[in-house]
Amino acid sequence: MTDTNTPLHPPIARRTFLALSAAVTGAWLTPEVFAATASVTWTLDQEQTADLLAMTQTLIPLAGTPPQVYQAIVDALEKSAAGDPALARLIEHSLVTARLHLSQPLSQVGRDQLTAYLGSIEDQPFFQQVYATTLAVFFAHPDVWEQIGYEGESFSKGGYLLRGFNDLDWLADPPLTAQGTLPF
Amino acid sequence: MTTFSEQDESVVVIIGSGAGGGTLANELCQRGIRCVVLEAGPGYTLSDITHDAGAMRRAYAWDNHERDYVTAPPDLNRVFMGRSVGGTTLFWAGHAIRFEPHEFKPRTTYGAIEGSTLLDWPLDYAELEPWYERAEIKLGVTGRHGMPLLPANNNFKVLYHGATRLGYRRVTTGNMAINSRPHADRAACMQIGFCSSGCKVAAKWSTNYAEIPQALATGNLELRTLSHALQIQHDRSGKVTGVLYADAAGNQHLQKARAVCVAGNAIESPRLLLNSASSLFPDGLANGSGEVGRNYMKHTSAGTIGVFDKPVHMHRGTSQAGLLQDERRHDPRRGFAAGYNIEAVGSGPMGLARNYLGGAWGGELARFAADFRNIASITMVGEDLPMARNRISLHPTRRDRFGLPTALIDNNDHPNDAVMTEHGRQRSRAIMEAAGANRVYHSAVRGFGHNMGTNRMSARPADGVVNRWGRAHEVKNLFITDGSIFTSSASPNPTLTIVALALRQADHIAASLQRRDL
Repeated sequence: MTDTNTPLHPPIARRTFLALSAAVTGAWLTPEVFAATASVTWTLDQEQTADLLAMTQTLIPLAGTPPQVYQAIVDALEKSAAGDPALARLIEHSLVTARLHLSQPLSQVGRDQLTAYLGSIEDQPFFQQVYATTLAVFFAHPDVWEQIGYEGESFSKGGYLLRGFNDLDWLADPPLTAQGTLPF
Repeated sequence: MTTFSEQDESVVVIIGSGAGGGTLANELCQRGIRCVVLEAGPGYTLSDITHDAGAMRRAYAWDNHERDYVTAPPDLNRVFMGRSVGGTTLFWAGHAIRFEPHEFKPRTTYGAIEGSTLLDWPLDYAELEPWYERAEIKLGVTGRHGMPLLPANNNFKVLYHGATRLGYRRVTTGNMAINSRPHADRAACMQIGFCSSGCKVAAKWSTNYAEIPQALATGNLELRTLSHALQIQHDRSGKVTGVLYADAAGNQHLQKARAVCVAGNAIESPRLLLNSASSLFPDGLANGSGEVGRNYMKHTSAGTIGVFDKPVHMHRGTSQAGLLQDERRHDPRRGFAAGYNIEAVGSGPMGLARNYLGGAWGGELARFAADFRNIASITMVGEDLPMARNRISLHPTRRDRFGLPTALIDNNDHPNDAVMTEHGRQRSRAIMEAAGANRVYHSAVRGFGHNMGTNRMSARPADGVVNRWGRAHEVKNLFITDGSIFTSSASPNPTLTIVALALRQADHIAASLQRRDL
């Protein structure tokens, strides 16, 4: 095969093309194909990054979430995969499969179509890996905390005792038979 | 720190420094009895505690450090065990609840239940009551002995109003081993949250900064950290003579002992006995009955969250901020034996997403995140029944880094557990709806991580592992001092009862030493 005469290139990167070619020519995605592409300094290419961004945005489409949150999820995936060749191969393989299935990159299909596709693969290891990373990074991100009203550690600010631990005002304060008074 | 020779046969060796081991060590040292405590983990100080829950869990949870030690059913809740000075008391939530009298007599009260090995305790409430008193004073339990209840946080307000609107009456901020006022040289609670990452102001009782330093101050304790017990050794007569352990570098040592007290939590304690099998004890030390490792209980549990139209901010303040006890009675009309409590359990968004969303994504997950500030959270925790097949055994093939078989956990719900859990789920939903929730979710995880019953107390040696003092039926100078000696799980969180039993056992050991019965 060659990487000089394909109508798919650019923008599809070389390793994606190799995989696509292999798929198209029937040499299905064998470990050897991907072992050759997952080098020591493995990184996501632009297209893979765009696909994963689209995927994470579909996994948790919270309005108003700043783009750096989704980028942080993709960065975490990239970092994990750089140290885990099997994960790197899984990501490459799965994004290629998705593009074949959808006939275009994930980043270019509509939200409904992408949601339907993700629903069809939600039991698969690729989805589970991306989902787990999405939850872990999203709900630990300070920008998300600020957006959803979670305030995190409070020791450095003296606790919540004087910062709203009992400020719920749409229910009456329970009687002193059910609770105690403040310590001072 | 005082040090003792490995050849010193006069010391009492205590394995573990948590609620049982740490308390026992202090009580014995205060009486002039010299002890060596072997703690598998490191010793953290208050400044080591950070309120990054994941980081702290990695620092001191047993199953993170020793990931390969435990093989458990995938649907079982995390197996919580501390692995540092203080054991699980460094990251427990602080509920310090007594058993009620009927909970010491479950077999008599509930009757025979098919498929359960239910047994009455060989001691009753009246007998343990003085030690409960002493334990509560030691821990500074709120609502007892003049220590005021903690003030209500936002999450508790929701539980309180939902519950009282349904007619429940026993609902308070709970009996907590968290100072509502300064006590025992420890500060009052500042409602910091992150109780399960460790209390940075030591308002919550932990043997880490309460019992162990007091014991060290007597000059009668040597605390050996990063010292992992491998095997308990015995002589031809069947008396234990010492403990083989590995230090931080993996070098093995044999500490001789006059008596050995095992307080390694209800998973590691039976594993240690099973790994101490010998020609005299072919099925494991003190295991002539075959009961070592059996009857593993972990409490029934079901978490419930309600989403409201208005803000709750449940993460502000103590993690577990309320206790409803009306359902802990035994009332067969509900369709199950025994009872449960409902506790207010606050959480950050990560824990909620993992426990309640059940793999949800897309619009549902986004809606959940958008509603985070309006969520309240409660959990039912109830008595699960002992079953012979629910057990800790030695893994047939997996070995730890010392070459010893790891723990294999079998655990399944008894039908009674499942019916109780569903009842608790429905009542929790009703509480949330009565408080005004517009959406309610339940968690899918099973069990509460309270490990109990695997070296149980019994009147007859054939029914259990230890007697009413926690002393092995078969080995005169071997004691067990943790939740593994619970004959039944009862409904309360177990720590206060572990401490009360350790205090009582200390008196028994001291008296036995005085009579030269040890």
